[in-house]
Amino acid sequence: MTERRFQYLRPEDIRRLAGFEFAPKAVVEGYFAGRHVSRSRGSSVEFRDYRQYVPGDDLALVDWRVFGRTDRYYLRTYDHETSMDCHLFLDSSASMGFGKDLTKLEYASFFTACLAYLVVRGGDRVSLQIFDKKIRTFIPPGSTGTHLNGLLNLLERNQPGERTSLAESLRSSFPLLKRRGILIVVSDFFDDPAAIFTALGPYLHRGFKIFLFHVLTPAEMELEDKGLVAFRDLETGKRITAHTDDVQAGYLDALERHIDALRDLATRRNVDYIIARTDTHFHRLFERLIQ
Amino acid sequence: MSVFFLNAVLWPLAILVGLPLIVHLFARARPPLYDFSSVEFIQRALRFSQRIRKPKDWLLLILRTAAVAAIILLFLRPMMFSHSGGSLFERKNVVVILDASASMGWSDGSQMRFAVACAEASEILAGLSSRDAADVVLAGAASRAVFPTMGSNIGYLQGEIRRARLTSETLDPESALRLALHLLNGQEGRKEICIISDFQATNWRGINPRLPPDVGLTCVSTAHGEAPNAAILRIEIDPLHSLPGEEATLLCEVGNFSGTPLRKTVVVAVESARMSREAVIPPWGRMTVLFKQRISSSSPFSVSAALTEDGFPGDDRRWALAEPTDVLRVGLVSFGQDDATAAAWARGCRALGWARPDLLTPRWRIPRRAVMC
Repeated sequence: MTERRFQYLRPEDIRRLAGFEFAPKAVVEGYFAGRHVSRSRGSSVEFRDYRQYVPGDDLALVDWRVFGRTDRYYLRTYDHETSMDCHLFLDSSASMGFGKDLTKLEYASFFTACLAYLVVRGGDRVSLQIFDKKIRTFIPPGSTGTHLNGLLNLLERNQPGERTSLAESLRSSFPLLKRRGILIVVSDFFDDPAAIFTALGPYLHRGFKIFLFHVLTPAEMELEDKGLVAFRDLETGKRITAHTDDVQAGYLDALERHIDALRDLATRRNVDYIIARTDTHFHRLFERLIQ
Repeated sequence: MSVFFLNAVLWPLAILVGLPLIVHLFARARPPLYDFSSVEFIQRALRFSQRIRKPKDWLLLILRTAAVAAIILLFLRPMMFSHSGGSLFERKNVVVILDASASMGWSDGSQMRFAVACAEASEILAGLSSRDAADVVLAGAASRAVFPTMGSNIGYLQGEIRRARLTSETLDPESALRLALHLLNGQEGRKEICIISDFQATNWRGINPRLPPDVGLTCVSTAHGEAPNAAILRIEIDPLHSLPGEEATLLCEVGNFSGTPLRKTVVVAVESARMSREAVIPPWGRMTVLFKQRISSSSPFSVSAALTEDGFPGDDRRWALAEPTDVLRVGLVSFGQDDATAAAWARGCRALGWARPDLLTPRWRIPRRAVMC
């Protein structure tokens, strides 16, 4: 599937992913028969329930045993198995360029590439949206090796851009997604939590299963001691001079409140919210994803 | 109210007041740059901490500046005058009255008050510029000025101060002030009198100098706290001319010049003999300590009395010369050559050996009887 060597999909990652199968328990809709449960009823081996016969129904579906017991016409219905669409949202704002050895964007790109590989390997379709304050690139869903190659190439060319506006990007991308499926957002979520979940509302209403991966570096989560420094915002260029000792407690408190707000809103909307620290291997995130 | 800086030459140090401000500004402007993902949370944290930190920064700057200003003022040694003395850059005429009375010999531990006064006077003179005129009045019972008129040779005045010696006189402050005013009379510019003294209460009680309005007065005290002092005031021998073998009484009068009772040991030395007695002298009081001594010969001898030393040793020791006599002169009033009574008394005195009769003939008539003087 991937002959050439890609920056974000290394052979060792492929080897490690051999034991994984991306199959989140989500109800999807699809055109092709596949492994995932569809809300539409169809023919398969999975029995769903009985329903009364109405004129026009295929007589072959009538359960004659039930008719023999009750003298009524009932049809056996089965779950229709279909392919899944996995929509990957990758935040490529300037703040994702933060990180000493491994930037948040690189970490997120590794994760996204492996995820796309897993989805395509499972015969499902994967789409990719790269955004900052607006959608920069959109690759529509596809399940072929060529599609995966194009996606991986795009990830390699990708660079941190401008300011984050996750809510705006989610609003803009909603019309682009034709079918419901899995929505995976990989971002540092430097946006208003309420606005993010307002923008996720239509997706949830349409039945998307949503995973939010909050990428943070240890330096952000602990605010390492740097003494008196001029903090320069990677997105806005704004400078604030402060001593890390003076602001550390307040910063950690503010960050914790932000995370708590995101987690609280996610729990209420039945959205999976996962914190992804860049000092932990991204394979650990797959374990969370398939739980 | 005017200010006079004793070390005006150090005025350029005032530039250092700006140092904390420069340090403050540079310290704020040179932190290393740290690219951070988002400063939003830091800004939120600062919203709380800056409300406290910003006034703290300003307060710190004010305190630093005040500390540097205080140090500079310490070096400049400002002195405030009670009367307006015109502009700071006007010519100054300064007369330093240096108290050289006995009380200035009090030692406050390491050095005498007079030494401190000399140093203070020298520093005051060092603070004058070449345009200023000065003189020094060495004050005692009779005050004298170093220059007959105001002069600008500050170095000479400082040399005279170094050579000045303490006197054992009491201070006459009025004569010293009169002399200072006389020196300042007719001078142009600011006129100042600077008195450096211990302001001993007994000398300065009731002194209220009335100075002309154009003359400023500065008092520099070299005394720090009370100086408890005891002194031997008097030493007497009774009888004045004792006979050999007679027991004489030595009277030592001691005084306490402090507000607290003093316990002192009075030691009397007569020839080779030494006697001591302890005395508790009441505050501001006097007492007499008695010693008995038998006179051994008729030759004169010295008697010394001493107190345990205090901060002012000049009055802790006193001497007296005892002059015993080998004969006692007896005066006999005789009423002519045929006065048998007088002749008999004279014969009796001569027989004693230690009595020498002197026959006296009165010019006026007194009752006929012998009188022994």
